[in-house]
Amino acid sequence: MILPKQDKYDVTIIGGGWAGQALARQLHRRMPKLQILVLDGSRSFGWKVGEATVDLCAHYLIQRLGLSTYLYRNHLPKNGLRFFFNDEKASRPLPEVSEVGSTFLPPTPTFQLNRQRFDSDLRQMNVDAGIECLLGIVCQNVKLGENGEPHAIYCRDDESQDRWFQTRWLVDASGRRRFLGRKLGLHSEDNVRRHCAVWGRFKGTADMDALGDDAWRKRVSYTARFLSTVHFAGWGYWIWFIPLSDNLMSVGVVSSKEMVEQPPIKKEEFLAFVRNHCAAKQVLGNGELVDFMAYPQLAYRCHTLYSADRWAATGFAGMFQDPYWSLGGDTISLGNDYITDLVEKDLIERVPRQLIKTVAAQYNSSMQRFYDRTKVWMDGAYASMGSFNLFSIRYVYELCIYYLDYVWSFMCKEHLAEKSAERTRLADHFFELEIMLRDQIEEAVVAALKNGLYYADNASGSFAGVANFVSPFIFQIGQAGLWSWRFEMMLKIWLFIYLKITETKLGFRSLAEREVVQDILTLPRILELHPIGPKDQDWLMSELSKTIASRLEAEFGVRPSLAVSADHLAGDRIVLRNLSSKATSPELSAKMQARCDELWSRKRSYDQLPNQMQQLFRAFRNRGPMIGPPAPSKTGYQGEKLAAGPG
Amino acid sequence: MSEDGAQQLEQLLESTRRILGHDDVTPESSLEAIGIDSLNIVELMIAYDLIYPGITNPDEVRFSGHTTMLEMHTQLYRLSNKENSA
Repeated sequence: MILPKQDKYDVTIIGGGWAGQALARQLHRRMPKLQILVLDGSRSFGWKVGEATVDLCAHYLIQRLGLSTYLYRNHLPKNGLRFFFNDEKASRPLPEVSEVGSTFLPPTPTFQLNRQRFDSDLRQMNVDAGIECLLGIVCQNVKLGENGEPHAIYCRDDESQDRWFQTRWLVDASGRRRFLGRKLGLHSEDNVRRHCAVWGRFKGTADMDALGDDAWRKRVSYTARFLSTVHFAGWGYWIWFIPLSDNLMSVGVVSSKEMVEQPPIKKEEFLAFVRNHCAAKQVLGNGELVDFMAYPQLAYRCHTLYSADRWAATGFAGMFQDPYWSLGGDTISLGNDYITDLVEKDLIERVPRQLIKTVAAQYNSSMQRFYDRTKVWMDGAYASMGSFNLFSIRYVYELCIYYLDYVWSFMCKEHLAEKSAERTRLADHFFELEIMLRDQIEEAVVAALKNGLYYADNASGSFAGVANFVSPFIFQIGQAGLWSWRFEMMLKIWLFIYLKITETKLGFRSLAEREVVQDILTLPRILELHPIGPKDQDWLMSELSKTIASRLEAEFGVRPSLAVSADHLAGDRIVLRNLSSKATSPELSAKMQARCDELWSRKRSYDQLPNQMQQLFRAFRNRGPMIGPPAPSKTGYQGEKLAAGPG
Repeated sequence: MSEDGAQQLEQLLESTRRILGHDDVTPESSLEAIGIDSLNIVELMIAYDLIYPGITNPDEVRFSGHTTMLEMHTQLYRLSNKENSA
């Protein structure tokens, strides 16, 4: 092969989509003297998928890339996640269905990205900054250098000319093409969610905020619902509506292939599916489809993302989990931070290769843990996707942990710091708790389908806001030095949500908030009895009886006869019996009953729970370290299709 | 104090400094004075667990705000060696 041109770069990025362009911009801002090359195989900017962003990604775009002004001028601000449920046939119209979402624009910014504009604007900014961005150059082969020698990349341009480049660092940002991944065998589909997706952009959809009456608009403090990533959620699927600038609406359907009988994958199936959903059809209105795409299998893993041999992968070329929670942008943000740090340590600080190896291993491990933890979330989410009762409380848990753990950590750059043994141990214990919660959710879904609570509140016009859950901490987000406090909050919210899921599993509605229940179902107890279920109900009722009786005895000197029953658990009052046979006066009986009522009705929100960390440490100390990655989700739902989706 | 005992005391002081984020930790410092509270105590307990292996029952470790680092070390060392020699 005769090669006409040869150039040498410090970092070459294969792929000019947002992951690759963002990395180029970040590297250039951080290390202005670096010679950077971005190679993209195409010349035009089509519609890429991945429009919604969440807070970690938005922080990356604003703080690392300095794009705040640009984003507000060219893209829409996002009003958080919003979920609408429906009956089993998806037959109810929008204002009637139950909803989960925010009542104010979240204090931390996020955006809905118009990808056609975003990718091409990023590229233009890079070109203006003097970064070499070549279009129409397809990479065909790479020869990775050994012993610190540069890599050689062999390409062909769109005039069929062969070109090759030398580079010290090579970053694969080639999207689902996965250029390096295919060459090095980096990817696998072991233990991933099996989901497919179809989507397209529409022009002229209906005005969502005008579809209900004034009372319906007032429910969200008149804030724009349409700015949210709207999810029409059902059994094993959800339909997204993401607003874009230029009067466009992105609409997509994500389906679990294990739960949805005929998941839509073709254009006609896509349109039929959305139109079959009463509320989604209303929002679609007379929208005209502008473009269409489908992926039959979304998720895959990558065993090595960063190498001391001076290569890395970012964006889709690395790993992908799921569109739910819009974590693609977060994955790019974390990954680009890791790659930038490795390049800086290697080329600028010139740390020894052994140290690069250690740091790369730490970053690889962090991304694997990120994938594993978010997979556990996906398991719980898709299991409960069609149920307002179960999903809303689970979503609140995710939102709080997302802020307290992932976003806060990213803002404080904890992910780039050396991990202490102590915090690693606590983080491992928390991961075990998350797996337990996932398992409890899956069991609760099966129970709720039987006891009726699964669909019970889907079309009752109920509303679950998130404000009360995030208000204890949201305005401190990003403050350094609060790791222990944050971890305590995470444990408390975990505990509270586990109890809420458990109450639904048992068929009750308000046990978790009751102080006297919280005093019995402590963290060590839960670890002992998990998964808490009908097998524990008799014990729980007996413990409640003993606890209340003891407290009344301590105060009044008389021990009442008390047997908490299932009816009591479902109700607001525990009636004390046989007080007169204990030779108590009517006044005393009345006082004791009043006190009993007060004890039963006393409630505590999660942030008022006592501190948990010591309990956690002690309880886990005897269980030993967690071994290996978490087991896949137990329930496959193949046999549990008690209620199908629409159509 | 034995040689490995001295080494463990030094490790105790070092990891306490690291977790608390300041250098003002000596054998005579009391827990209260150096800023140990109900939040960071757990990270410290895990660190001590790693330095004094084999303590099966963490409830046996008794301390208050007035306990000094040296007193902590003496307790942990004794409990750890008692387990190991049993």
